[in-house]
Amino acid sequence: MDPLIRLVRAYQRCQQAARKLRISGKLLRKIGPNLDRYIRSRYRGSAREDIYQETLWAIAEGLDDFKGKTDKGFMKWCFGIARHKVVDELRKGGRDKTVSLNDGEVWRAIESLNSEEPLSAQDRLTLKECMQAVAVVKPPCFDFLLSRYIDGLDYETIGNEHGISARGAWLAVDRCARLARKLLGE
Amino acid sequence: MKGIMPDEDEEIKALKAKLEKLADRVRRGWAKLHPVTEAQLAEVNRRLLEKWQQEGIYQAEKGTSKGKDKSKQAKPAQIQKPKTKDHDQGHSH
Repeated sequence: MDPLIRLVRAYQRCQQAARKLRISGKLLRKIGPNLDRYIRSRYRGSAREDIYQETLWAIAEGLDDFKGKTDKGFMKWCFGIARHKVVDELRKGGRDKTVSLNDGEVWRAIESLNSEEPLSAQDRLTLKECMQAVAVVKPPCFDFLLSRYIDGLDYETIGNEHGISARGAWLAVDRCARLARKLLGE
Repeated sequence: MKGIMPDEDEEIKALKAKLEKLADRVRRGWAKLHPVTEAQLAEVNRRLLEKWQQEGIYQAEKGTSKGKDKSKQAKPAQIQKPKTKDHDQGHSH
C-alpha cells in the first residue's frame, strides 16, 4: 500500500479523536509543502495564507470519505482542492496573481539541502540548465513545465487546469520541453 | 497515455529526466524551508474537534469508540482539545 494511503486508511479506521488528529497531522505535514508551493505558484495575493489554511482544512475534513487507493490519486485530490480554493479566491475579484515561483525561491529550496546533500559541480550545472530551460519559456509553456515537473501533476489534472484533454496536456508539455531545449541550444 | 503519445527523441528524454531531478530537489528543499506550522495544524485540529463535537462522533478516550455511525450513538462523544500529551504532535521532520 502506498505510504500516504496507509495513513489515510489508518485515519479512517481510527475512532479515537486524539489519535485521528495525530494521524491527520502527520499526513498534512507530508503533503502541506507541496500544496503551499502549488498555491504560491498560482496566487500571490493577500489571501494566500488563508487559501492554504482552508485547503488543509478541507483535506482534513474530507479524509474520512476519501476512497482512492493510490498516493497519486490522493495527491490529485489534494491539488484539486487547492486549485478550487485558488479559483474561488480569484473569482472574488482579488486578481493579484502571478503565474510562477521566482528563481530565487526555487534556488533557495535547492540550496537548502546543501548541508545534508551537497551539490557536486556537475549536479549544480545540471540543475542550472534545468532552471534555464524552465525560465526561457514564457507562459503558458512555463505553467505547463512547472505543473508537470515541479508540482508533479498528471496530464489529466494539467489538462483540467487549462481546459484541454490529457493528451493535449501531454502534447503541450512535450512541445514546451522541445521549445526549451531549442531556446537553450540557441 | 501509452500508445497515444508520440515517441520522444533522446535529447528531450534527457531534458525531462533532468527536470525530474530538479523537481525532486525543489520539492524536498521546499518541504524543509516551508513546513506546515504548528499554528496551522492547531487550527485544523480545532475545527475538526468542533465538527466532531457537533456531529457527536469520535471519542477522545481510548476504548470507548462509538464510530461514525450516529444511529448507534447514545449520547454526544467527549472531546478533548488538540494539544494534549501526544508526543507526535510536536514533531516536525
